[in-house]
Amino acid sequence: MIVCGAVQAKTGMVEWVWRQIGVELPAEWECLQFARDPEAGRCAFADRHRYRFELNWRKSPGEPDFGRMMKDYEGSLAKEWEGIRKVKCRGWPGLTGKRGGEVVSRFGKYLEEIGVLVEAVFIDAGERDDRLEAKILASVRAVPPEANGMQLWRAFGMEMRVPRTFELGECVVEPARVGMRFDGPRSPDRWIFRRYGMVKTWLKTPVREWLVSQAGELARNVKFKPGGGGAAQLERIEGEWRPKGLLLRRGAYAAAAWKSPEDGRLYHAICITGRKSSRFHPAAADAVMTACPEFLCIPAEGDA
Amino acid sequence: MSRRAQTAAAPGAWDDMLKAVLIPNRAARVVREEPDGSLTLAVPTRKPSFFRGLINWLVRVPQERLTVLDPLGAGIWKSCDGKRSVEEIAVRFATFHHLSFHESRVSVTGYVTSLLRRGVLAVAVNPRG
Repeated sequence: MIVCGAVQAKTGMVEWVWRQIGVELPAEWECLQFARDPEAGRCAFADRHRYRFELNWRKSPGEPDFGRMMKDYEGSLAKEWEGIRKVKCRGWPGLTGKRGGEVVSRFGKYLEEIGVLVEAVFIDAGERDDRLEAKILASVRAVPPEANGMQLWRAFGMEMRVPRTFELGECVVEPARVGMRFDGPRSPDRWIFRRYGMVKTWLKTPVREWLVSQAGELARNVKFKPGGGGAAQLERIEGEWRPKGLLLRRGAYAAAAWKSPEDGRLYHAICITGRKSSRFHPAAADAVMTACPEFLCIPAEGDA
Repeated sequence: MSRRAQTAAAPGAWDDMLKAVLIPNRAARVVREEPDGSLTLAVPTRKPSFFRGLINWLVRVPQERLTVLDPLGAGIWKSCDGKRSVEEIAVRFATFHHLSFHESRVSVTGYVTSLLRRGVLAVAVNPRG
């Protein structure tokens, strides 16, 4: 499921949930680098002028020896950094020092719930901002799958919930166009979430027509379903998914699109699944589904 | 964490670029302005040296090169007044189109690069010191 992400910038901090790691960051910091690898990777965030924060993760079977790790770190960074010293913030052990004209601080923590070692890196142009560091470190949390088997993702202005067995297969981020595809363990299961900007300049047809045009020729017998209405003017379609090829599994296709009245962006959610009826239910049970209450998806029995 | 030496490096040092000021080519002239906001600009061309003399007599080289800007591009070009920095233009573009700063920055700088290649604009890097 997907929720319009226009709420950002009102509170000053926005939560980012990626690979089961949640962190609250200033709304003006944008993610410019990301990794899809669940084993190890990095997301890097920048303000207008420079990178400000990095979130590194690595799967680990157990909590590492932080004392030894910090010592190793200190040794390896001593050549690059000046005035390197150990610090602790909100229970996170770390190191800070000067690198060129900037202050870099690194903190590490093991998130036991999800078995991931997390490293938070702060980069400041002038002096270290300890208050902001403390605020951000306090917000870092493990986001395990919910009781209903859904995994929360919150990124690039979208809030998505996908079955926990689904993997992030593709993520495309371009100006005014973001797309994230989650692939299920069995073909053709896949959920796709897209967010488009500058809608007035390119969308010359009603959202309903555009939604049908996006279904493509592999979606057959497409029918309109009652939309959510409201200010977002949600449109929904459902049909059959018939890929070309004798051995490729057929399934069901469902999609929803709506223009958010808050940020003027167009949101598009697609769900392709091998089993039709168990995936969708038109209920408004989830409080966070403010923009798209009709596109609530529940996991199939085998996925939860 | 194995890549600790690499982390926190800032490969996208775009700060200098944001401070640059874009100056329109004074020789460029607006040939046509459509009602939808798109523009056609004419930029004088410089003849290569081998086109002087006999070849010039045989082959006619166009004296101007036309560049057509769509309404979005025309808006960016009009913002380049020789006073505004790239950052100011990106912020303006972001505000008008409800984009985030970096979405706008990537769009604007990509477009500006193509205009620079076509000689419609010139760039002054860090003129304020």
